[in-house]
Amino acid sequence: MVDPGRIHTFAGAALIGGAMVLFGAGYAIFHALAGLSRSRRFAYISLVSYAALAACALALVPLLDLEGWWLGLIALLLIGYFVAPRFIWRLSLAVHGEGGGPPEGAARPED
Amino acid sequence: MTLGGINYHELSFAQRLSVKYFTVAMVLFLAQMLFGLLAGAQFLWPDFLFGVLDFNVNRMVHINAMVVWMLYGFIGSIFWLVEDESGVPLVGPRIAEATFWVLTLAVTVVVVVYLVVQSGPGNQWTLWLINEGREYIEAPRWADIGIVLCMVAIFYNVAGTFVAGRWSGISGVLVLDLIALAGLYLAGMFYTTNLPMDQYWWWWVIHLWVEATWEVLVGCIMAWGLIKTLGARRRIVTTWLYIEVALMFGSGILGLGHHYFWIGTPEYWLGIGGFFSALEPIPLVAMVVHAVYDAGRHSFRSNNHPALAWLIAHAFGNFLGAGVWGFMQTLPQINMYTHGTQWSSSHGHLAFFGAYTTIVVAFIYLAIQRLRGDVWMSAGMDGAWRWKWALALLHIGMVGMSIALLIAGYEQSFVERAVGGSTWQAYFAGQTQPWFVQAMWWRMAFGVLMTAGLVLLLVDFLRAGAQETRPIKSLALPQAAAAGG
Amino acid sequence: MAEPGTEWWASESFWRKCAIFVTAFMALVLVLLTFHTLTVIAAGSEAGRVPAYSVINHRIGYEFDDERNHMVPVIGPVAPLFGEALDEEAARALVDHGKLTVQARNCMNCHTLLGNGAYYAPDLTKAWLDPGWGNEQARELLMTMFLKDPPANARTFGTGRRMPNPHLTDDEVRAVIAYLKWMSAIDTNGFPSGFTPLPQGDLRGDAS
Ligand code: HEC
Ligand code: HEM
Ligand code: HEM
Ligand SMILES: [Fe+2]
Repeated sequence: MVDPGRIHTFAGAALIGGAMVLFGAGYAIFHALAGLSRSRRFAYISLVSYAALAACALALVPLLDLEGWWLGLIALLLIGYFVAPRFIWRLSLAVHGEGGGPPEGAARPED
Repeated sequence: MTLGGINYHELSFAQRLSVKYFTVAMVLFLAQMLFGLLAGAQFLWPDFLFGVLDFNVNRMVHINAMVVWMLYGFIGSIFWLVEDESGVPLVGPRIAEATFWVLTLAVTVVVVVYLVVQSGPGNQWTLWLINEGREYIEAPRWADIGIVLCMVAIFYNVAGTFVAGRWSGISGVLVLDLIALAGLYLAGMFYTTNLPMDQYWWWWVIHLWVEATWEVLVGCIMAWGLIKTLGARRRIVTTWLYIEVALMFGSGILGLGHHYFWIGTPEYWLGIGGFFSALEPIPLVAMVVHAVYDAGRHSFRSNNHPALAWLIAHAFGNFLGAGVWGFMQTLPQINMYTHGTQWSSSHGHLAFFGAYTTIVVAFIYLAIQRLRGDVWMSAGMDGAWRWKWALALLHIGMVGMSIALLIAGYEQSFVERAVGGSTWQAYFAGQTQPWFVQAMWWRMAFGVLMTAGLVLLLVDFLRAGAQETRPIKSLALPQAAAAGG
Repeated sequence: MAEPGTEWWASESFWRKCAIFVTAFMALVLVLLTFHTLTVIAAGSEAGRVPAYSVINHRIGYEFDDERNHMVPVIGPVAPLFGEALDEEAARALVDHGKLTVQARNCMNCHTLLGNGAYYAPDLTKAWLDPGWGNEQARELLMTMFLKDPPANARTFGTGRRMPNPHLTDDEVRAVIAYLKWMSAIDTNGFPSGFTPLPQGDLRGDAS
């Protein structure tokens, strides 16, 4: 189930995995900042962070020789790490009674 | 109340008890650091205290002091908030007081036995009286039972006070979480010959504590703190607490699988552990996002800057130490090589510090503010350099140490695990790599820095707010109240 | 019931239910998995991952398994520890004494066992098979000598990092070695990977 062959790449893969989570935070934080301010720049940075996250996740496939179930895991990571920060942001707004929609005066986070 | 003075006798009974818990916690924190330094020094000078205080003794005291002081910090925080949250005085003050002294006496005896007796013959008596020899929960069986009894007494006081007064979302989660936390400890209290069985249950205590029940416990403490210090609205804080519980338990309970890769347990744990622990960073990211939201949306006027600074450190430290450092080694394809190396140590240090040291320190600053007669504790108060430098030194030291250990972990996992096949010789091949050796020196240097930071922090605990005479600004600022938390 | 001004999916009551449901569900799954895992890891169970204690009567190897694509322990022909075959109960008692000794002397705050513990000294998962013991013939004697007086038999590979004398009795030494032998036969999904055992006799002789 786990291929022990990759002795030269596991450490790089570990750092890439760490970077992936960091980009995940970058994506989430800039998505939030984009929602808070009028600036579109934050929205772009957020998407670029997500692209970097996706690149890291995909890089894990050859580095760790992932196959079968593990490819499914990468797919779920790509989807989950895309959706979760957006959902959490909407939740932050909605819990505060901002109705889940964008607050007046702010750019839509997706813009 | 005298502004800037010590108002110990004006605190409620339960809050005076908290002060006692916090005091012992800080003494143990200092002890943790000193024994960490001794253990770290033995990597550099192996003959240092050889045969007198061997590495295993120093390390055991180091990590046991940590677990106990953090629990003391949590208990202290709970006693601090229980009367306020329930609206009635503590139901069993005499029991509570007695419990504190019994528990502290027991801890003292355990530590003295660790240091003086150290180990015993290979039979059950040793496990009952001296040392159980299982990392983090080495305390002998008599102490286990004593700890559980003390926990029952503390639980009686906390739950009983809520029963006598009023319940809230926060106290409901808190009480249920305490039951789980104490119940899990029982999983670590028995002996078995079967090592895989032993480690299976051992991780129930360690992992399900730090990655599930402790996280939720500090979530409750923080929720209360946010209401009190920032005037956050209760409904919002409570909803957010439920969200965190769902995310944290949703990923953390089965995330337990990341410890069941190599201990003889079935192969399905590779998939389960990999999957759920990959989700574990999400609640931590959620906390950061929510903090960004709050900071951006509400211009809170915090009247306790040191506490707020440490709360922010908590959000980021938890994410970095647990989320990022944990994820790095959590996929089995990677963990196969990083398992049981300095890599784990790097993660362990950053995660415990980032998640739990920070929150206890933040709460102590809240308590100190009250002790000083609700003075305004700002970034500009007299002697504010102390808390700022303590914060900086502790963080620089911890991040530096974690990076040094990460480099050591890289060398070790590569040279010993991947290339050398983890033999005796391969182990030492890893330990003698120049980068590894240097990293051990850097760890030491950063450890000294941290210790200096801790000493400064303790001095600040005694002095913070002392010269301050401005009272807390009113919390009911119109816009904060309207916008909520 | 949503509070006024709040979407149902962001309401307190919705998330309270979510928290309870998610926690209960995950805990239930964990309990079910635990029941299964505990039957699998019982010593000597059908699954064969954790061997019976009497495995110490056999030669033990560690080889690459093509099908599982990682290394696995191999139980070879009879080769009793210290030349003395033990029945299951006696073997269990010996291993038990070994484990008690390892806990009582706090070995795990220097060493790792199955990779868990401390990082000051080598991992002991495969210590029984370590090439450092030379060969099969020398092993029991060298291990005994080492554990009786580690500083006098120190190797340290230039680090000066010695193991202190745990002052084990003769019985404790034998028990610890039995425990290490049993441990080396646990199927750990290939951890540690790439470990080459010391030279041993045939593993596929008459494996009674
Ligand atoms: C204070 C730390 C410490 C403690 C406690 C300790 N050891 Fe060791 N152990 C070491 C060191 C360091 C080495 C490497 C010694 C050398 O190379 O000379 C070692 C080596 C060994 C080895 C040989 C290495 C190998 O891979 O096979 C065995 C077996 C061993 N120890 C078993 C034990 C047992 C059993 C205990 C408990 C009774 C124990 N150790 C307690 C530090 C310790
Ligand atoms: C505050 C939360 C956390 C704390 C305090 C913490 C602490 C620790 C500690 C101390 C260890 C070493 C245990 C030992 O002594 O053997 C450890 C191991 C580990 N942790 Fe965490 N951790 C936390 C969160 C996480 C998270 C979120 C993840 C995954 C995403 C994670 C993944 C791991 C893994 C995979 C190991 C095993 C390391 C090994 O194989 O040696 N941890 N953790
Ligand atoms: C003066 C600063 C410190 C020094 C020099 C130090 C040193 C050490 C050493 C040498 C070990 C043993 C590692 C090994 O087995 O190789 C250790 C373990 C550990 N320390 Fe520290 N430490 C310090 C501060 C801290 C702090 C502040 C924390 C947490 C808040 C902490 C938490 C831990 C944990 C959790 C372990 C067990 C790690 C594991 O098993 O993976 N230490 N420390
Ligand atoms: Fe864990």
